[in-house]
Amino acid sequence: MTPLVQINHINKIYGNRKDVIEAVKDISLPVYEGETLGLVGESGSGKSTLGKLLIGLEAPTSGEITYRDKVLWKKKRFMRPRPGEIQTVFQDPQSSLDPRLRVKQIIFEPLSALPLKERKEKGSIERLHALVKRVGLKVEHLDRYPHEFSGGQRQRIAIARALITGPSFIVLDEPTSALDVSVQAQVLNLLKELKQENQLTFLFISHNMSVIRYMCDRIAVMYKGGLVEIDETKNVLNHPKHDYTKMLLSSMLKVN
Amino acid sequence: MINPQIVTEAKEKNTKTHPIWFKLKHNKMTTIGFLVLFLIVCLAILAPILTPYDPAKINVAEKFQGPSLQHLFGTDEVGRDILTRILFGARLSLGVGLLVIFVAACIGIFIGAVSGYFGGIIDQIIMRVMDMLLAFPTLILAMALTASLGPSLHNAMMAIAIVEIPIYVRLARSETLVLREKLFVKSAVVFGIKPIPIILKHIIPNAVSPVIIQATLDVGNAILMIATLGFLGLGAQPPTPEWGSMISTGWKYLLDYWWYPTFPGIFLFLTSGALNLIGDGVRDILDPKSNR
Repeated sequence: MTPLVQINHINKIYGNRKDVIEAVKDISLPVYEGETLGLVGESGSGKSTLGKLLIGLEAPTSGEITYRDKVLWKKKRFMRPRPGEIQTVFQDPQSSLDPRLRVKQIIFEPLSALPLKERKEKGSIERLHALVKRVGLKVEHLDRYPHEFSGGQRQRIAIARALITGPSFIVLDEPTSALDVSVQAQVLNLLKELKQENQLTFLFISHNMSVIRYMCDRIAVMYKGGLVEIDETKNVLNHPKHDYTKMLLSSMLKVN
Repeated sequence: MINPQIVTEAKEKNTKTHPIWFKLKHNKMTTIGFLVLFLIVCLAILAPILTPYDPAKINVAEKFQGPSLQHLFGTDEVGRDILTRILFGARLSLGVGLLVIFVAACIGIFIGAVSGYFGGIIDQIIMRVMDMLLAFPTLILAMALTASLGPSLHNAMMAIAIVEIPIYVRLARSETLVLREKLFVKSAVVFGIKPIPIILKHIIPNAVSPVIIQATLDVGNAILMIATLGFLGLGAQPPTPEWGSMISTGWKYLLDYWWYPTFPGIFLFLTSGALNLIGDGVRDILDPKSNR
């Protein structure tokens, strides 16, 4: 299989000389086309930072990231692939939707970065309605404001917004950790189905091992900015190699 | 630049969270302010209907007449009816005050949002220029600007707008610094949307509420400043009926003809006082932290 995204010896250092935090330390990993790669680790392990490097919110200090064999970061400039190709869903649906915009405007927003022809093609009302229904919302919701929705519904809006451009790679940064458990399951199932239907590739960032186990084909475990283990889900779960992974797994079993 | 729809939406949203009318009832000073302003606005709008006189027509035969039924507030040194000139002056003062603050707020919020959003060197340059403007007392700076541009109403308006801009820049910038970190702004960056559309679509609509409050507070100030410049001979030029310049010519006659500067002065006091009361009230109502 060819990697869709290849991360090579990526470092991300915050702060100046005196007060340095190495958020990401020398990480190399591939993300293959069509898979869900789970990125797991405790708070502050650098997993969200790695996600931000991929979507262009933070520049790496050193190292190289390629997307379909094209470099994503040239020095401090983000070389965006086709707009809308890489999308994201953030953790907190309270703050990821602009309170002043209607749902319709929110979902259509990513299209405004596309060339005119593509925008017209993808911005049709039929497509919008189909998408809204697909993510489990109703057409009459389109004229409302985000504060009128529950957390799960907002996350569905955010998912619809990510899908409107027809992306191939989506970075999901703890998409369900702000939701309660029953809603979490619905959203996870929706994501799984959407991935099947649209041939998507997911980078799924989470600290929750059971969510990761349910969603992912492969798991990458991060600890203090470094990559400690990466393998297929069943191998990581059944034969964890690193002590930290074992600890993560044991904490999960205790909770269950 | 400020979409009126967004402004009304902002107000609507606040009505939901704060029952404005309820609070207004319990805030007597603000109610009084609204009533006085409402009265003055009505008088200004209805000016041509309310008085039979022309504010600029000279009638030397009737000069310096005291208050009477023909001329409620008397006449001035060339026989013009003072009440008429006050009413037409109210149109000018209110219009100019609102316009100046609107322009200053629009420009200020945009500069502030740009400054806060981009940060770095752009921010440093803009904010240092604003600090320079803020370092001068506003009135002195406005006077200096008008004097160098040449005394006229337009130049006075421009000067006051320039002097007021830094307040809005700072306000909008501090709001922007908070908004810039919000996920909906970050998402827009990820979608590949350019900075200026992000500022126009996300930052400014969300930063507009405190700016509206500040603007309500400042209209009264702007009216006072226009009058002050008029008084000093830097603002509206005769024969334009303007409160400041009326007081300016009138005070020379104060001992003999007391009514000439007194009535424009009272109206100036009432208008800026009412606007200040409203401004305070609006701030109390919209800012839950300042609840008494």
